[in-house]
Amino acid sequence: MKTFSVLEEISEAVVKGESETKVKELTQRAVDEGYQVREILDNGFIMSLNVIGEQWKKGEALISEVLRAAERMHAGMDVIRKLIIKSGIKPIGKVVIGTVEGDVHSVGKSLVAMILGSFGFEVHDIGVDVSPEKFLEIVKSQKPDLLAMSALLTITMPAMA
Amino acid sequence: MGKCMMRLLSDEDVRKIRVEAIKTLEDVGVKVSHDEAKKMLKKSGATVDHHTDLVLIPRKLTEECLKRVPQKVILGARDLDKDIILEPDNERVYNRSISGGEYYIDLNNGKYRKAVFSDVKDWARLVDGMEGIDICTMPYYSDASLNMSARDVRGLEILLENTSKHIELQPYGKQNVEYMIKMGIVERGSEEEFKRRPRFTLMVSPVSPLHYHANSIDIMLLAGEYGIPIELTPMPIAGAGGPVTLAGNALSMIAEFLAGVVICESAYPGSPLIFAARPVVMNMSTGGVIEASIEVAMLSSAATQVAREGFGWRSDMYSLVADSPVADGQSMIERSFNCIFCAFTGADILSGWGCLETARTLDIVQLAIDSEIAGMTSRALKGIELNDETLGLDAMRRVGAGVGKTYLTDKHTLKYCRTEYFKPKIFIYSKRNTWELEGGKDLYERAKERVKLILREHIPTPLDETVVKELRLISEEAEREIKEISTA
Repeated sequence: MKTFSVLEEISEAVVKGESETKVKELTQRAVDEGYQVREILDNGFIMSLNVIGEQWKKGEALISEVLRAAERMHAGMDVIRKLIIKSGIKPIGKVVIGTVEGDVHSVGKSLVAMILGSFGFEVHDIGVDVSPEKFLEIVKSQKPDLLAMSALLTITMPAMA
Repeated sequence: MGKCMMRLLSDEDVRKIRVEAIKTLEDVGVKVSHDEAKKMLKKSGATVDHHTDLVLIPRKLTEECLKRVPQKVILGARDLDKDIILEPDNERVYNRSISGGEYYIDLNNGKYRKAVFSDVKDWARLVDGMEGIDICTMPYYSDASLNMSARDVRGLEILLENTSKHIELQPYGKQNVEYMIKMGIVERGSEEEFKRRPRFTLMVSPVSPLHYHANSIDIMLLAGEYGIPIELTPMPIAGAGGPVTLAGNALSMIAEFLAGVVICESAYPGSPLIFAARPVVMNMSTGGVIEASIEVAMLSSAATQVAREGFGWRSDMYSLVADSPVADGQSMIERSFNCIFCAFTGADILSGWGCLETARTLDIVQLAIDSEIAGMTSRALKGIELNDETLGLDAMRRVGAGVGKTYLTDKHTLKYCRTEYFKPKIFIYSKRNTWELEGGKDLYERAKERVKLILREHIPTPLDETVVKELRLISEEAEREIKEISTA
C-alpha cells in the first residue's frame, strides 16, 4: 500500500479540488507533523500549482478547475498565514489590479488576480470602473511592483493611456 | 404548406423556463444602478435596496409588464413600402449584418486591419445593393482624427445617406442617442413620423449576471420616450456570467431580458422590444469565449423557442456567425449550423452577416457568401407546398409512363421551374474541367468579384441635399460636444 507524505496529500487535494475543509485539515496536520513553512509552501502548494499548470497546458484541466485549485490553495495558506509572516517569507511582488473607468467587466480581471495570488503575489484588487486618478492614488500609497489594468469594451481601452 | 421547424424543448420545458425566469427576478433579483429607475420600480411594487442596487421584482409586476410588450414591431426603412413589420408568423425571415467589430478584412489586398471611416460607406452601399439582407449595421472604425466617442453618431450619418434599409446601431451613451434622434427626425421630416416609423433600432446590453447599469438604462429610457425599438442583448458567458449548463444558460438569458422588459415597460408601456440574447460560452481551455459552437447554436434555438412560445416576443439571433478568424471551411460550417438552428426555430431576424473571429472582425466578402446561406435557409423555411396542383397529378397523367416521355416541356414544368428552386449567385455547379477553364476560382474569390460588382454598379438612392447638409451639421456638433463616454 502506497503511503503519501502529508505534503503530497495536500498537493493532490488541491489539484483534485477536494473540500476546503480537507485542505485546511491536511495543512494543519503538516504543521503538527513538524514540517517547516517553506517546505509546506514549496512541496505542498507550489507543487500543486505546477501540476495543475501542466495539466492546463496540455488541455487536461479546464479554467474552472484551475481556479478551484487556486481557491483551495488560498484556503490552505490561510491556515499558515501567521507562520508565513513570522518566517519572513515575502510575496514575489505586489500587484494592483482593476478594470478601467467606464468598464464594469470583471471576469478576466478576477481570473488574473486569483492566479497571480496563487503564485505568491500580493494582490490588491481595486474593483471596476476605476478612474485614472484612483489608480494613481492607489499606486502612490501601495507602491506595487506591477499595475494591471483590465478592459473589455474597445471604447474604454484608451483609458489605459 | 409544411414548415421547417426545430424544437429542442418540449412544451413543458418552455413553461418551466418561463416560470423560473419570473421567479429569478423575485428571488435572485436584478441590480439596477440607476436612481430614477429604482424609484420607478419601487413605486410599481418592487423591493429596492438603495445601497446595493438590488431590486426584487414581484411576479405581479413582471406579468403586468409582459402584457405591455408589443407582439408587432415596425422597423422603418427610408421608404414606407420597404418598412419591416415584425409580427407573429411573419411571411418571411429578415436578415441583418454584424455589428460591433473593430477589425476588417481589406477588400483589395485581403489584409487584416482595423476598420477605418471609409469602410462604413462601402459597407452601407454593399448592404444596400445586396439582395436578401434587410438591416444595415456598421463597422466600428478607428480614426485618430475623429472623436471616437462620437463614432456611432458619425456612422449613422453615413448609413442614412448610403442605405435605404433599416439601420441598427450600438450607441455609446444618452448624449449620443440624443444626436441620433435629431438625425432621425431630420431624415423623417417630423418627430411624429420618426416615432411612427422608427428609422433605426438600438442595441443595449445588461452586464451578466443580472445587472443593468446607469448608461444602459439612460439609453433604454430615452429610446422608450421616442418609441425606438430596442434589441436587449443579454450575453451571460456560460460558466462565468451565467450557468455553464445549456438549460441554465437559456434560463439566464431569458431572465436578464425579462428584467429589461420590466424596466422598459414600467417606464413606457408598449415599448417595442426585441429579444436579442447572444449565447456565449466560456472556452474552458483558454478563458476566452466561443460564439459559434454547436452548443451556442442549440442555446440560440432554445432561447428563441422560449421567446416565441413562452412569451410572444420578437427575436433577433446571431445566426451567420463564426469563431474562425478567417472565412474558411470552419467559418462556413459554424455559420451554417447556427443559421439553421435559429431560423428553423422561428427567429424573426437572422443576424451576423459578415461576422468572423467571434464578432471581432467584419469581412465584406463573407457577407456576400452569407447571402447564399441565408438564401438557402429562406428557401427551406418556405417548405414544400403540397396540393393537387403541386403534386403534378395532371402533369403525370399528361406525360404518362415509359422511357422517352419527358416533363421538360410540359406546362407544369414551365410554370414552376423558376419559382420552386433557390438560385444561388455565387455557388457553381460545374464539372472540374469547366471550373478550371473559367479560372479555377474558389468560393471566396467568386464572392469577392460579386462584392466588387455591386460596389461598382449599385448607386444608393440619394437623400435630399438639404437633409444631407442638416445631418452633417448635427454630426459635426456631436463630434465637438461629445466628451468622455462612461459605459458603466
